[in-house]
This record gives sequence, structure tokens and C-alpha cells, in this order.
Amino acid sequence: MDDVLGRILKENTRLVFLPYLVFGYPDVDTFKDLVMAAADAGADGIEVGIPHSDPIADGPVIQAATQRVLEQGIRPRDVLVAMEPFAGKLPLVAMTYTNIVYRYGAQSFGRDFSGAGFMGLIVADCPLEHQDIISPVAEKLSLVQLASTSTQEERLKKIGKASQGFLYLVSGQGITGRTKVDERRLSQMVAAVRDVSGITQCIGFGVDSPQVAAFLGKVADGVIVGTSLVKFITEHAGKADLARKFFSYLSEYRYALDGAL
Amino acid sequence: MISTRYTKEFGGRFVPESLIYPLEELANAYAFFSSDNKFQGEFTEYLTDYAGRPSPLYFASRLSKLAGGGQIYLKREDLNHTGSHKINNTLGQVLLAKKMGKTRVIAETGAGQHGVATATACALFGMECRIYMGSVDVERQRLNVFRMEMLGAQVHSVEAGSRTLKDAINEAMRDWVGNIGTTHYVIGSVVGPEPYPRMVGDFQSVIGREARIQMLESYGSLPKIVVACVGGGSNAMGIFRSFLGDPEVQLLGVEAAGEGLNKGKHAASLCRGEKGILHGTLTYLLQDEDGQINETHSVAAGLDYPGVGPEHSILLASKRAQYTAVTDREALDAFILLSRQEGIVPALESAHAVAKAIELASEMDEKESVLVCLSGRGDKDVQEVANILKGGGFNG
Repeated sequence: MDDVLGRILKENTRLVFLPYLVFGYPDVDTFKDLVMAAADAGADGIEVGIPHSDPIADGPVIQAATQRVLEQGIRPRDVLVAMEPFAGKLPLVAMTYTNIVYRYGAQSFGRDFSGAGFMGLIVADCPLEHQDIISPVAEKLSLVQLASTSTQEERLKKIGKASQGFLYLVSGQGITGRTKVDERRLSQMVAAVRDVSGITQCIGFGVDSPQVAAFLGKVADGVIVGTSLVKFITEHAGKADLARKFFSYLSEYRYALDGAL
Repeated sequence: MISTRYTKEFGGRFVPESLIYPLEELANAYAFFSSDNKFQGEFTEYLTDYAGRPSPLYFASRLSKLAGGGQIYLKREDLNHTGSHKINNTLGQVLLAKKMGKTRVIAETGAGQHGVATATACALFGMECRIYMGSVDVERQRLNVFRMEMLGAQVHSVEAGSRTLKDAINEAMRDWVGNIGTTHYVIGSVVGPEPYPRMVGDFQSVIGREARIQMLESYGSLPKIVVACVGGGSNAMGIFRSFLGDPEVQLLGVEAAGEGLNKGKHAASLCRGEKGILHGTLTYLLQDEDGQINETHSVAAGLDYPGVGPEHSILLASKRAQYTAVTDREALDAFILLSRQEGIVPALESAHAVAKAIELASEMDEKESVLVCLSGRGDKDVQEVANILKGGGFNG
């Protein structure tokens, strides 16, 4: 498959800004408004979290949001219809856990999500050794791999070569929103991957302010911001001007990242 | 004989990339120490002098007579130090963690038996200890919370999800991801990513090794059936392993049918589950169509888990073992019966196996026997059972 997501991100001339949002949080309509706000604020793509009941890679903030969504009876297939208005407007990347893709059927997942405008998929608990279980997805979607600061050199290069779309660098040891950022190790990792691949590298986990984003953005090619956005949404949910406020908040990240270049 | 390596069927290491290195480190250390005579000698010494092994094999004559058929033998894991089979595994893992240079140990617990056994091993080896426990379980297993605290462990009550064992495992995994340098995660059952199912099974296999010899010595032949309760499945795997090579011996795992398999509220992953991935392993799970994990129910907190060890899934698929389920009510009946007939108060988890054993024995010839893994004692459950009896849940 042609790695469209990879090409789009490569052609991006500024630091990549990928906001992460939990699908259907706080509710589906508001979520759609938030995606629109993110697009307007200059996001280079949106990562859409598909809720799983047991999100072991996520911290309390995203976990609580996920639980709220599941309590509303929202299902993975609801993502397809809801995201239609955004298809082709900006790159959509789904993020979820292996069991969700496994139960959906990897091939159907690739077909349906690609049909709904998604370009990539990140699976938080599917390491390189187990790719065969989700690989039919790759017929239609770019399969983004994750690397961690504890990933050893040789393995890191393998992951870098295998990744499509971009490489997701986990900023340190920890879960989303509770990570000890290891900047020195991150720089080494970025350099090691560049030796073997020209893939775009984005840092996620622990990017909790525009300042940190600007700083880490420079270390790699861009950042993924999740927990701090979900926290913002939780704090402002129910207020009439949530989407406008969210736009302003995201714009701060965009400005910080652009200033960092 | 059986492998828990990912076979495209069951097992594996479905974890965030951050945990790949610590799992590899653990697998390497375990490979080294499991073939190291000095380590094995030390481990055996602790099992003997500290945990009180070998545990006795007891012929339950009054219970057998009542069942009116085959002979019922109990492998008395309830007599181990801390009151269950869990100590076999925690002594092994905490000793291993010490050798690996770790200073901090974390664990999840459901009924609290694994938590107590971990806290005990940590006190013994001078390790810092933190136990994750769902808040529902904290409530129904108060006694064990006090015991863990008495032993110097910090008990963290988990409020997320269904607030039981599964959520305690999620939280312990999150802790581990953030502290891999200093911390070893002692998983309490034959679940989780490789090498845990294999390693925990190895540490527990002492149950079956002893029981097989004891059966031959005191009874002169092997049992017709070996019965054990299955939550994650560690006591069952511990006793089954030694009989895998005896095709004439039937292996029967007993899951929690809760309020009944057809009522939806149960914890019978092998009887009613479908394949999926939870806590790093591909196995049978109780889940919905989308792959969201179901909430489970059992009167026995230690069986209240929506998954099961991948080796059990392999044994089910290969038909080497059979799996059935027993309701809360049947387990409570067996709890009372064993207490009154033999003066042994079993853990509610183990009472599931006892219930099935009585039923099986009643259909057997008197020359035949059934071996039950009595995995733990019921002191922790007395309050809970008293409440149920008072509420009319038992007689009513």
C-alpha cells in the first residue's frame, strides 16, 4: 500500500502537531466540534482514540474519559459515520488496543476505517513480534509503530524501518499523562532512526504544555498531545463556548511549535 | 510438553513497547536462574523451612462416605504459610527479583491471598512492597487488607473500571511501566505476558509433583480425576502439570458460574468465553462483540476475573483438560459441608473444586478416587459467608 500518511507528513514544512482526542468524549456531537476546532487551529492530523475497556497504556485522565464514552454505549463502528465530514480534510489516525482490531477483524477494520477517511492506525499494545495479528489492516491503513526510551538500539532500528506514516516515540517511562520525559535518550533515538529511515518522528506521552511541545518538537519532527487536551475538555465540558476555548488552547500549541522552528 | 510461547493461538506478549525490555530482562533472568542449582536449592529451602512444604495429602473419609462413591483426597495447600498456594509463586518471584537487583515489588490481588503472600515474601527478603486491589475487593476482603498492612505493604485501592482483580492488574501494569528500573511486578497467576504464565506455572508445579508421589505412596495408584478451581488458573496449572503425561488421569478445571452460566453474571472464561487479548496474552475472555471486557461475578473474589491463563486455553483446545463451572450457591454449600464434615474451612475459591469433587465422587466406583487441590483456607471468607447466611442468601 502507498503510505499516503507518511508522504503528507513528510511534505509538511513545519513541526507536526497531532492532537489526540477520545472518540465520543464528552459526547459525539461535541467531539465533532472539537475535531473541527483542532483542524482550524492548525493541527496536521487528528489522532482519534477508539475506547477500550482496559486501556493499560493510558493514565487516569484518558482512562476516565474512555469509561464515560463506553457508559454511553458508544461502539467502534460509531466512529465511521461520525468522522465522515472530516474525510479528506485532514489526516485521521485511529489509536486503539489490539483486542478492538482483533474482534472487529483486521481486514474489515482496515477497509471500513479507510473508507471513513482514516489514513493510519496506532495499536498501543501490539509490539513488532505480534504484527501478523493486525497486519491485514496495512492493506488500507499506514501502521504506525511505537518506540520507547527503553527500546534497545537494534530493535529501535527495526521498528523505525517497519513503521509507516510516522514513528511514535514514547517520551520516557510511563503511561499517558504520567511520563518522566527523557530528552537525552530521545535525541539519541531520533538520530539512530534517521540512520536507517527518513520517516517522520513524533514524540508523545508527557507533552503537557505548549512549552514542552516546543522543546520536544525540536528534538524530533513533531509532537502528539493527548492527556493535557483531554484534561482541558474534562475541565470545560458542558460550557457553551468549549469549542472556542479549545481552539484557543490548541492555537497556543500551534504557535509554540511554529516559534520553535 | 506444552509451550506458552506465542503460537498464533494463545499466549504472547501484547504489551506497550515500554514493557518489552523489562519482560525480556525478566525472561533472561528467569532462564538463567531456573537452570541454576544454587537458586533452585535456595528456593526449595524456603519452600520447605519457611512455607512448610511438602503440604500433606489428606484422605477425606467422612466427606467421601457422604458422597457415597469414590474416595476424595485433598491436597492441602491451605496449610501452607499464609494460607494458600500463592506463597509458592511469590517466594520464587521475589527471590528472583532480589537476584535481579530490584528493590521494589508490586502486585495485584483479588481475594487478597496473593497480596498477603507477596507482602510476606517482601518482608522476608526486605523489599519495598505495594499491592493494587480493586475497591470492591478491599471491601469484601478486609481481613487480608489488614494482614498486608501488618506485613509492611502499602495497599492501593483501585477505583477504575469494575474495581476488581482485572482493574488491579491494569493499575499494577501502569505502575510497572513507570518504574521498570527498580521494580519487579509479581503477577499472581498464570496470566499476563510471556514469561509470566510459564514462570508462575513452574513455581506452582511443586503442587502436582508432590501430589502425584503422595497419591502413589498412600493410595497406590493415580487418581481418576484431578479437580481444581480456575480463576486465572495457577493452582490448577500447578497440580495439572505433573499429570499431563498420564493420559488415564482426567483433568478438570472448575470455573465460577456465579449466579448461573445462563444468567450472564459469572466468571467462566473457558466455559463461555471467546478468544481475545487482555493483560498481554491471547486467551479465552469474557467480552462483548466489540472486544470490551465484561464485568464478571463470583462470590469468590479470587475467581472474579474475565480471562484465564493461556496454558488453560491450550489444554482446552487440545482437549487434554475439561472445564466446568459451579455456582455461588453450590460453592457455599461445599464451604459449609467441608467445614462440618472434616473440620476444614476452605477458601470460597477452593470450595468450587470441592463442590464438583463431591458430585464426581458420588458417581464413581469406591475403588476410584478424585484428587482435589484445596488451594486455600477460608478464614478470609468467614465474615462474607456469615453476611450471606444472615441475609438469607444461602438457605433462602
